Amino acid sequence: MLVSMYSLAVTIIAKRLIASETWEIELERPHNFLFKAGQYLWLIVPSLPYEDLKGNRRAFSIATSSSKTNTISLIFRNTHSGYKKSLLSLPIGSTVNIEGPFGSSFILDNAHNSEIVMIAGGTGIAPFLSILRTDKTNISNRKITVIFINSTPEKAFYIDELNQITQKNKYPFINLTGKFSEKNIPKSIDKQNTTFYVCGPQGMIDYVASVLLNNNVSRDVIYFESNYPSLSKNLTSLDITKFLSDPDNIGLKAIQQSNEHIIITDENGFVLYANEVAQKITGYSLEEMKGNTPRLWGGLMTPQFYKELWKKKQKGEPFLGPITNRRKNGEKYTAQAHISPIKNLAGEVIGYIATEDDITQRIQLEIEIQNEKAKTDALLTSIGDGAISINTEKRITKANLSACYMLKMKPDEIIGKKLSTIVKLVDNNGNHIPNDMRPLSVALKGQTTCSSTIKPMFWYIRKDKTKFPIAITATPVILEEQIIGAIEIFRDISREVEIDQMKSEFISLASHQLRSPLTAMKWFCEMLLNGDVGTLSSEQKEYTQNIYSSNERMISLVNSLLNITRIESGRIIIDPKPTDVHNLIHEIVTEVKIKSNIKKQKVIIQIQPDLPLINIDPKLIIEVYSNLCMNASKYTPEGGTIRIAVFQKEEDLVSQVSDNGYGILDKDRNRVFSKFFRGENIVRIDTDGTGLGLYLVKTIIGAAGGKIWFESEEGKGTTFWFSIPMKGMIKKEGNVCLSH
Amino acid sequence: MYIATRKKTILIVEDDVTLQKALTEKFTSREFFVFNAQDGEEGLKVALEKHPNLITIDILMPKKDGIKLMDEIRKDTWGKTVPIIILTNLDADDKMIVRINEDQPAYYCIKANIKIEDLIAKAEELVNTNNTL
Repeated sequence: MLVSMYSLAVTIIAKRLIASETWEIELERPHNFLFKAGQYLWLIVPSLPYEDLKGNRRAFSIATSSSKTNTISLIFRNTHSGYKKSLLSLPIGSTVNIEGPFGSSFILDNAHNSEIVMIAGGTGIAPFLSILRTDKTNISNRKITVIFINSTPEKAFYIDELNQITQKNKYPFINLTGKFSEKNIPKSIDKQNTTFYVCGPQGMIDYVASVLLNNNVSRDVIYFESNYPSLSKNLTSLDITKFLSDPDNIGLKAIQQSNEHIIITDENGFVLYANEVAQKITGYSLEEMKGNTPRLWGGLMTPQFYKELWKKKQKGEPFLGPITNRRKNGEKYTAQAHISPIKNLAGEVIGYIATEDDITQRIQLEIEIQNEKAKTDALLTSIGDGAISINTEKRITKANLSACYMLKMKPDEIIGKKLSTIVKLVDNNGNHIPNDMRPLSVALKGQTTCSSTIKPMFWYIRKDKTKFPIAITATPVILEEQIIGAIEIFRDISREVEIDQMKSEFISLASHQLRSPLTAMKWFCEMLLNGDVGTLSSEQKEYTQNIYSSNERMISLVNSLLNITRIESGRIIIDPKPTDVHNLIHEIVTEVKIKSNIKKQKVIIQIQPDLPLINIDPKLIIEVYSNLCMNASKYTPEGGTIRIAVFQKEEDLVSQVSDNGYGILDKDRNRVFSKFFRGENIVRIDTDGTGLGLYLVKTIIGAAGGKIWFESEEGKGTTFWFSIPMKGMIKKEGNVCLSH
Repeated sequence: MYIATRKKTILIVEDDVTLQKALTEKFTSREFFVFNAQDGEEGLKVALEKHPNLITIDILMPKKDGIKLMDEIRKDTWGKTVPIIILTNLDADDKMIVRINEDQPAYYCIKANIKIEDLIAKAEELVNTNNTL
C-alpha cells in the first residue's frame, strides 16, 4: 500500500498531560495528510528556545485511529530534553511542521486473518493503540493479544483505555511490569500462523525477538519497529538532505542511475534515500522506506548480528558481509552488504551509504558446489581404487580411504606431504623411478599416464618395505587452461598379476598336454597311410584318412583357441615390418590354390600396382587373408570364383575378398564375428570348422587399428572388406606369437 | 665316402613314450641309428657320450628342461655345432624363440603342426648340410 509523504505546517490544537510525565499533543490534520494506523511522523519545531544537540526534529507514533479523524494525536514522555521542553512550551495555536507519515510494518489489511500478538514496550504502545482504536472493519475478524511491558508502572499510559478496548473485544491483555519471558507467550496460540508485532525501544525489541525465536516462533512472522526513531541532527543531516534535494547534482544522478542497490540513511540509520534498484530489489518504494531503518526489509539475522553491525557503524567503520533480507512480497534474498559512513568535514558521521549486491544466486551456486563437492568426496571415499591429488608444488591435497589403506598410512600422515617422501615407485626390475618421471609429476606437465591393469609397469614400496604392483592413471587437473594440480588413481593389481600368471601357465600346459596325444595320432595315422607297417586295403586307408582329418581339425581347434587366448590376454607380439603386399598375397594365393584347384574354382587377384611398402606384422595379416580366402573357397561350390582385391583408399589400405558362394543368412549377420559361431546354412554343408576363424580375424584387425565389414546375399555370395591404416600397425611388445 | 656310407645317428630326447616310439620307428626305417633319452639329464649324458649327428629335444621334460639341456650341450666343444631340433608342443614365449633363433643350427617346431615325413626331411637336410661343413 502506497502512503504519500508530506511535509506540512500544522496547528497545535490541544496539549494534555495523560500520565505522569506523559503528554498527548493534538494537531490539526490537514486534509491531504493521509495515514494508516500504526504509522508515525516527524515533528519539526520552528525553533529551539531550549538547546538540544539532537536538533529540532523528532519522530512520534500517531496515536490517532485513522485519517478519517480531523486531528492527529501524538504521545510522548517528557524526557526534559531541549526539544521536548521547546515543544511543550509552544502555546495552543502555534504552527509546527510535520513530515510523514512513515512506517508501514504494522499496517493491517483485510487480506489476512491470522491471529496477532502485539508486544509493546513503553511508548511503543502508541502504534498499537492507534490500530486498536481503528475502525473495527479492518480488524474485526482477527484475534489480537496485547502484551504491554512497563518497566515503570506508575508511568504507564492509556492503561484505562487499553483495558476498556481489550475487554470490549475480548482480546487478552497482559500488563507486564517485569521482563518479557517465554511464560508470557500465550499457550493457546498457533506459533506458525500468528503474526507478532513488536514495538518499543531497540533493546526491548532485540530481547523480545530472541525470546520468541528461542520458543520456535519463526523469524518470518515477527515484525518489529523501533520507536523513538526520532532524531537527526539538523545541522549534519541537512548536508545530506540538501544533497538529495539538488536535482542537478551529478553525484546524485550517478547514484540514481547506478545498477547497484544504494541506500542513504541519516546517522541513526533512517532511510533518507533509496535509488531505483534498491526499490526494485526490496520491493518497497522510497516513500515506504523513508523514516524506516533498513530493518523494514531486514531483521532476519540474529539480534547479536545487528548489535555488532550497529557497533561497527557507530565507530565509523565500514561493514562488509552477507546479510539475509526479505522483500516486501515476503521472498527472502541474500545480499552482500557494504555499509560505509558518510562523514562531514569535521569528520563526524552524518549518515551512511549502503550498497547491497543480491547474491542469492551465487549462494545457491555455492550450495550446489558444496553439494557436488560432498558427492565427489563421497564417491572418492567409497571407490576401491586409491585416489591421491596433488597441487602444483607436488604436495598431497587429498587422499581417499583406499589410498590410505593400500599405503598402510593414516590420512594425516599423507596430507600436505610430498608423495615422493611417502611411497617409493619402482619399475618391474626394481629400479627407482625418479621423482620427475613419476606419473603425477608427468601429469603436472600435462601428460596423462594410463598403465596396464594386467601387466605391471609400476610397483609401490611402502614404508615397511613391502611392495605391490599397481595400475596407475594419472591426469592433470586443468582449470581455465592452467594446470592446477594432478590426480592419480591407482589400484593394487597383485591379484590380476597372479591370475594372469596362472592363465599363461594354463595356456602352456594346455597347449602341451592337449597337443601331445594329438601328435601321436597324427604321426601314427601318417605312418599307417604311408604304408610303413604294410599296405592298407582301400577301406582301411579311407578309415585311417578319416581319423587323420578329424585329428587335424582337433589340432587346428587347439591352435585357434590358443591364438585367441593370446590375443585376448593382450600378450600377443605385434612386430610390424615394411611389407610388400604383392608378395604377401602371392604367398597366400599359393596356399589357397591348393584347395581351390581341387574345387575347380577360379581365383582372380587385383592389386593396385603402385602400392608402397606398408608397415604390418605379416604373420598376423597372413592369418587374416588366409582365413578369409580359405572360407571363400570352403563356402563356395565347385567352379565358383574367388576374387581378391587390394587398393588404397584415402588413409587406409583396403582389402576385399569376395566369392559367389553360399552367402550368410540375414538372421546370422550380427553373429558372424562371434566366437564359435557357424552359419546355419554352412553347418549343413560343411561340418569341418571351428567357428573361430572370423573371430580371430576381427580381433587381429582390431589390434591393428583397422576395420572389417561385409556384404552378403544367401545363395549369391559374400564380400568381406577390411582396412588397415596406411601408416601401419604399432609395434607391441608381448610374449607370444600366433601358432600356425 | 666312409662317412656317407655310415648310418647317421640321432638322439631323441622325449619323455612321451608313444611319441618316442613313433619317432624311433620312423627314423630307424630311414636308416638312422636312434639313441633315446627320456629326460634332460639322460639326454645330456647320452649326447656327450655318443656324439650323435642330430638331436631332437622336447622342452617340457622331467629333471632338466629342453632349453637348459641345449645350453649345456652348447657348452661342450663337440656340442657347439651339433644340429638341434627343438621338437615340442609348447608354444615358446619370445625369450625362448630368441634363444633358439640365436642358437644356429637349431630349429623349433611344434610337434602337432608338423608331419612326421616333413620332420624326417628336415632332419636329413640338417645332417647332410652339417656333414658337408
